[in-house]
Amino acid sequence: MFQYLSSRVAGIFLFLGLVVLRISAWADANQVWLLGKQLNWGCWFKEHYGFPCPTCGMTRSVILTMHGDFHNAFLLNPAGPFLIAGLLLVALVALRLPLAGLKEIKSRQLALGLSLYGWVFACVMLGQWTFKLR
Amino acid sequence: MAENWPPPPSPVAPAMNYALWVDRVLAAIIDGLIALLVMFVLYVLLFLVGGVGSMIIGAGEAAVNTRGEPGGLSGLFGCSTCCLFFILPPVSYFAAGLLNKVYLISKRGCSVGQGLMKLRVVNSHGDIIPIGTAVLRLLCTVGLSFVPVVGGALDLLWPLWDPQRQTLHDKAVGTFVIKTG
Repeated sequence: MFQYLSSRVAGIFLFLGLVVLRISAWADANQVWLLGKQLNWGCWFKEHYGFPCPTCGMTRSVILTMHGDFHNAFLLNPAGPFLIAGLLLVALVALRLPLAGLKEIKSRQLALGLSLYGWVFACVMLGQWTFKLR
Repeated sequence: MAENWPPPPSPVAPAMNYALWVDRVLAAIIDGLIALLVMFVLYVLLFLVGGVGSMIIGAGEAAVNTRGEPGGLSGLFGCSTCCLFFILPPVSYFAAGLLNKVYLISKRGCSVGQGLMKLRVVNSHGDIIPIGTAVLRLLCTVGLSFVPVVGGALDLLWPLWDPQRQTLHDKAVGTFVIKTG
């Protein structure tokens, strides 16, 4: 019972976090706004070394994905849409929504799947960075 | 002759004294401090190499700093490099883990932190895990830490509601952490 409630609570928190991000943040290809205020963040790595870091564009990409602008999100950083898709999948599994194939999922499969997803996410992040540096 | 043979392995796993979540967290904090030390060394090395390199080729001085801060070596520390939060922690955890989480666990059954908390990592038969399983366990831990927001948190909190008090990386490779003292 506790396990069931805990995973549901985790799923609800994750969904709420994504909803809050969707409501409170806006972005275009160059800027990010949080609660209507423009954020003047800069990448220290890019300023210092003159080329982008692996996570450059990630904030804008995640927010654009949340607003449905997948094309620009993918152009900024392909890891952004990949991250949101992964988080939504984790939230669905945690909530145990009655979707085909998700009900019977075992915690071992979740553990293996999540760690594999982590490695793929890291490869996507480093892969797009290598591509940008070319 | 037949009575001298060893008894067949029991299909039922022996009863285990599963480690408390608090003990596991304390052990993880101690192990985390070792990884933090490795991370600090990597951090200093990275920025010394990068800083010296940028001074030599002039990229640090020439780079545009929107906040008007000086480039080069003077800007090496106190930075807000978002990528380092994603990259350095898993890399340093993996580097420290090769000794602490692979060699020590496969050799004596516990890492430094787990040894201090009197914990032991075992398989379903209660034996010390082989080095291959320990490597896979470490890879799963690092893989989970690569998942932003939820990976590390789920892994850390999972024993709270798991009947065998396993973390996700324990689930992945079928290991258990027991209290020995």
